Amino acid sequence: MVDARLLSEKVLAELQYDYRYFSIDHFIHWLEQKKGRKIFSTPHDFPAGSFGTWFTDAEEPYEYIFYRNNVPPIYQIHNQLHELAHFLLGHPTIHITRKFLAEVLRGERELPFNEYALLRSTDKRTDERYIRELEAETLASVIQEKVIRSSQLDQLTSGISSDKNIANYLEHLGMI
Amino acid sequence: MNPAVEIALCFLAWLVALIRLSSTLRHKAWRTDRIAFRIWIATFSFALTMTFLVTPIGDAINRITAPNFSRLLAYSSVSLTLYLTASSFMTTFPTPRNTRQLRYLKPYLLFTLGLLSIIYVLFVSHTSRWVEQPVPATAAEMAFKLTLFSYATILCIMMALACYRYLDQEMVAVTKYRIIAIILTASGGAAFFFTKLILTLGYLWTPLGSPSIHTMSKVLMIATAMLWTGSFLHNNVYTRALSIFHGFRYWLAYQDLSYLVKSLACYCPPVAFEEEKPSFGSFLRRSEYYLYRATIRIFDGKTFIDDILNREKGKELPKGWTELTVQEANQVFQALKNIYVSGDFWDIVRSFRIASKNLARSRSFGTQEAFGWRPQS
Repeated sequence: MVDARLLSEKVLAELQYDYRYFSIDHFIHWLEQKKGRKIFSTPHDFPAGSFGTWFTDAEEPYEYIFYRNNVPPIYQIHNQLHELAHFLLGHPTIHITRKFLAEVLRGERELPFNEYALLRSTDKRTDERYIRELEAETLASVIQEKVIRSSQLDQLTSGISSDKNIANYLEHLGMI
Repeated sequence: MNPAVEIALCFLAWLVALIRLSSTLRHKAWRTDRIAFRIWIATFSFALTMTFLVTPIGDAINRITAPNFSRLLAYSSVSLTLYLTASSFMTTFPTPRNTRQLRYLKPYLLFTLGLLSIIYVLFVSHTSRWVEQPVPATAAEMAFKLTLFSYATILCIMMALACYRYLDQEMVAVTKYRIIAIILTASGGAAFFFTKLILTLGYLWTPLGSPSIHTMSKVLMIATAMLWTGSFLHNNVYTRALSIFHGFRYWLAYQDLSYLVKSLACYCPPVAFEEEKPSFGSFLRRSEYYLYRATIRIFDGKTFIDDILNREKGKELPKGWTELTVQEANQVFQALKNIYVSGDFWDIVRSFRIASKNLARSRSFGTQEAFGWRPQS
């Protein structure tokens, strides 16, 4: 657990992201620039027990994030962050091609999702996949923690006062 | 007061004045920002007051100049400090009444300084060295003190009112608390100077100089000094304090959400890890984070159970599930069925709290009845 947290801090330190500006789109745009990859994040009709997944393009510098569409927005953002965390941590994933994707969009094939959350089985602590999930979820939670801390302070300190004169006054008194 | 304490307070006052001086010089405040400059003059004037009140320094001044001259200097400089502070408050807090009252401040200061000078020249300079006592020893000392303490009381009341009139217009929470702290400080100051005024009148009528009023005066002085320190704390301290204050309020909400999380964990183990339940202290520091994570966990469990309950016909149940598990999970799902799932985060939290209470109630009464909640549109 501690290792996963340290790993998350290391990954995020390299990103140098300013969490005060966080929105999921802004964050993805930042990752695209930092990693030199185009990220497509799309809501999708998932089968039961699945919430999100990430594929990488075998031919182009593209990453594909799919997240469940029929859940509340707050949960959709969380699922995107979780999948982005897998990408940031460099976990192994399925490589797909544009041809494969086109077939999926035409309804000729299905995306390779797992059914009924295999990860929720009880004897999983030593499973390699479980460790990857643990790392991804830890990274997502650290991002969320940083966003909340920034936005909380931002909310509380955004605009020192309703009146500009008072803001200046408090500043002159050394209170800001 | 002990000379060591007097010197320490004097040193502190000069330190504040010097710290502010660097910023004043850097920004050439006397040209660019009159209010900033006025504030610095006030801190400088206050440092002078504290210097004149240090007994060895005061005695030295009196020896070189005239008897009790250090008192005239101290009272004049404290009057100037109060004037500069009050006038900067009234200029900064922009309400019509504050603007109207501002014009009376300067004449009142000049009147007070004039009166102090007259009393000093005619009477105080001819009396022997003052020994600081709660009740004045001479009529001259009484008149001198009455002039200052009435002026100080009135100006402190004006400062408190100036801030109070503006309070409703302030929308930023931290600054609102700051202003409340300033109001309390000014009110404390007014109460302190008022008790000093009563003690001074003890010269005329002995019961007014009673030890109980003297004790009250001391308590008010300490309280005002503490409030004064508090109102000058940095904004980050206020922000942190406010966050902890919110944490107290959110703790009960977190307990309700934790009950739901625990109920869901039986049917839907977490994908990666179960968030450790924080101690009260840890929760206070990161209350919003813990509430957010609990919310995510509830959505996770709710969606998972929904998938199982509404699975395709003929599809098998997950490993370890029986028909009884399905029934129990359905009870939890019923409680969560009508929760508010979009929009404001706090609406979602409120909705979950009600769901949590309904679930607890339905479990105690053995019924599956659950009620949802939605915010009023």
